[in-house]
Amino acid sequence: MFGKVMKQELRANSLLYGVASAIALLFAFATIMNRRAMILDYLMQAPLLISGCIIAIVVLVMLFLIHTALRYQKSMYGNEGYLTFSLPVSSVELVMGKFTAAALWGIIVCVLCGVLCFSILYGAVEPSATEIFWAEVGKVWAADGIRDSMILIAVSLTLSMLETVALLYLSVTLAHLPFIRRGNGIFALIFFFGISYVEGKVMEFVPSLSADYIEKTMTAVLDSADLDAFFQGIRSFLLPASISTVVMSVIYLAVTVLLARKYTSIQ
Amino acid sequence: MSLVEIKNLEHRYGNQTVLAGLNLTLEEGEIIGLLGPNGVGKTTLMKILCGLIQNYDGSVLVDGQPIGVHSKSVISYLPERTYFRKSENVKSAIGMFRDFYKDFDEKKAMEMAMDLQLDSKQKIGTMSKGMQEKLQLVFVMSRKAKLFVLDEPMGGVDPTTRDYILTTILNQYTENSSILLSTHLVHDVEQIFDRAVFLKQGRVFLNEQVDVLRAETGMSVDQYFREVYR
Repeated sequence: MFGKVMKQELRANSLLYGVASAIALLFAFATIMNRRAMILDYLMQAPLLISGCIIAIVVLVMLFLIHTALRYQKSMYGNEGYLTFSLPVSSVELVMGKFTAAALWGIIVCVLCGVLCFSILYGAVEPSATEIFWAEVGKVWAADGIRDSMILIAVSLTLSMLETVALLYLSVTLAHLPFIRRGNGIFALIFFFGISYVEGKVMEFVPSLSADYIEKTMTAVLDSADLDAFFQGIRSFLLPASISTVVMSVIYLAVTVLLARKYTSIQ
Repeated sequence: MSLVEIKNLEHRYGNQTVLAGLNLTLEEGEIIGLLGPNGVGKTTLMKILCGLIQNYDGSVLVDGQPIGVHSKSVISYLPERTYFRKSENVKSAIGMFRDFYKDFDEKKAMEMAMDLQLDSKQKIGTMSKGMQEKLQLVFVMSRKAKLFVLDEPMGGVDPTTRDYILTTILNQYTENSSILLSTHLVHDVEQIFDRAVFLKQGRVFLNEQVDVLRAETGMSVDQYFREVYR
């Protein structure tokens, strides 16, 4: 049943994300194809396309987060909830099926953002400098520390996006507990920002994630002006941050499942 | 083993007690009218049976098991509102029912949808509210469920649609299953009831076969309803 929930959820969102992805890819493609010698057309079009790519990144991420929250709210606690909760599916399958589908869309959004970032960089390279560009890319990729850090940054950004989804699910579920009769949307926002704030405070207790540690590390790294040291510094707090993101996601999802199982009350 | 066994069921909305120690047993092979005025707890009881409300006290068994995956697989539920996504079309909605319910008769659902002259690719959001309600009824009645829970299936529809709904319910009903139907239109529906359950103050006030009720009171169910809730 988990797979069936996921399938329904993927299908419900496919049109919206399909169109959004197509538009984002169009911008990325146009930015890359616009690469030419420094002639007037290029100079006029490039800033527009690069701006388009930056806006596309922001819109994609915002669209994903807002739509994920609204979709969860509608499908669980709106009219659709009458069908959702009467399906022969356990709460775990229900929440995890929805989360996995959202996670897949989230990963697609992250990949698209990556493509857009690349197109911004590559689109700004003059055709005659293409070889130099690729040589530089090769050099950076060959450096173990830098490559690992880049991968870690990408993974940790993706994980935090998925943690945000788990937190959105929990916030919406909390906002629909039986004793909250009105203003569910406002309560969902209050829970979302409240829990985020508390999580930030709790993370302060992890030595390598405390504000002091990060500030000291980054100051030392910037003072030394050493690229290797810079990426080493980033890795020293991104790795524990990624682990804590996974732990928090699991906790948020577990509480969401528990609340959906014990305290559901569709009004 | 009874199809539904409810013991000491209690539920509150805030400070307001809706169900106050309700006891009810339903057997297979009956069409049961769940009757009572607004706010007496009919919809709440149905929602609890179908797993939409889980914060209740007391014991509820359906087909011998507490409310959960099994009970939901044997209950076919028609709520008082439409629940399909507006962007979904008839064909994909059928696909969804087929995916989730092993007892769903896809062919029958498609035939009944065609009887309503619906195009399988028509978006549900483009249909009138009445048509959406009919389509939902078609889906719900295309299952071979043990218990059909129908909450106000004729609420706010015109007399022709009312006839269509009644006919559909009767045509699809088999004696292996039971129907629990709530309605305010007692006069229009009472001829199909085998049993009437009256709710009052969050409890079962009366649970009797309609033939016995008519014989004992000398009144129709509708007349008795008006008498009780006057």
